[in-house]
Amino acid sequence: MKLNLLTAGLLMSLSLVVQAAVSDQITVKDAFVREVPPNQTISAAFMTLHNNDMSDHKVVNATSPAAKVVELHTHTHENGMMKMRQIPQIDLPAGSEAMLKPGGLHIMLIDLTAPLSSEKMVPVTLKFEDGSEKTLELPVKSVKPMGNMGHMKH
Amino acid sequence: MKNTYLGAIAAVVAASVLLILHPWTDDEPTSGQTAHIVSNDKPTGGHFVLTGSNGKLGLDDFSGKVVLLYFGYTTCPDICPTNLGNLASAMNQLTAEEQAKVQVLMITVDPERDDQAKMDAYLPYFHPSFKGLTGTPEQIAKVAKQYGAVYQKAAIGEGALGYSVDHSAFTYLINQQGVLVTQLPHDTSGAEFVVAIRSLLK
Repeated sequence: MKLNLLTAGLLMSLSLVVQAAVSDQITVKDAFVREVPPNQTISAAFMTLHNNDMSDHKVVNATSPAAKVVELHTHTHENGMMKMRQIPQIDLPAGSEAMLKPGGLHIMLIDLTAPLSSEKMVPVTLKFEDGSEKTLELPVKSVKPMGNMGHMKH
Repeated sequence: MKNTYLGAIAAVVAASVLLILHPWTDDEPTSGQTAHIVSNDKPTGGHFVLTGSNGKLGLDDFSGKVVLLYFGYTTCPDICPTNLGNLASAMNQLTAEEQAKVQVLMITVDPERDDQAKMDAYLPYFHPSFKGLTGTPEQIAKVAKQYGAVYQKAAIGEGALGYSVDHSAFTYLINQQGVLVTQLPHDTSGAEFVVAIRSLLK
């Protein structure tokens, strides 16, 4: 019985530690939404997510008032073709980065509610596996800069 | 025991090397509807006539220019805008004189949804000189085959996009005589396109 109490106590203190919201463990950088041609009703959001925690986490959902539907997507390269597919989550391995970038993981904004403008920030809310959320204000960036800025290969 | 492990590792390494050496061979389509598989044969390229903004438009109409040919579609969410953005970046790095000798063309691989009006609204966003071509599915399939471009419709999960089109994402570099010179892979940067274009403008 004593042991059980002790175990319960330990579990409780552990769960207190775990209860820190996942959203507080994730930092976001280089986030933007891609500017789109006229009449285009879809765009995508890109960013680098860093998981500062010692456990794995994941983004399970994203929402935005700028689009009717928001989906998590990735690209694979098979049979010489680029294939885009919806995925249920974006994995954020402990202590490392998940890069959302053109040609790879991205957050699709489908059926834009209004044309995107470079003067207006786009709010995007990420939801993590524990239900915690992080709302970001993303700038709209053009994919066709003058010169080769932003298109350097890494 | 150890030897068995080593043998297994060696086999895996050998298999990987074979895969790396033959990235274009794929005899096992992942889906039953796959009709277009990238082949080892070098595409022949060559002449084609499809439909542009003012009616018939073909490769011959750009004789004397370096042509960069791309197969894509206007509701392409990510791959096409990335590549067209890089091509636009390349154009912007060229002098006005050089730009006049270069033509970027996109042929739709989604003729069902892409009409000429959509193509005409889409391409000039990237660069005013870019032109889009449409045609019947059969006409487009024929040109794609000439150039070794592959594509197929794909349902994407429970997605709200309806369908997307899986497609190869090469940019075909065609010289002033209409001869296919090479294909540049997806993620070719603007600067790399400039080098390729200038190699033909010399």
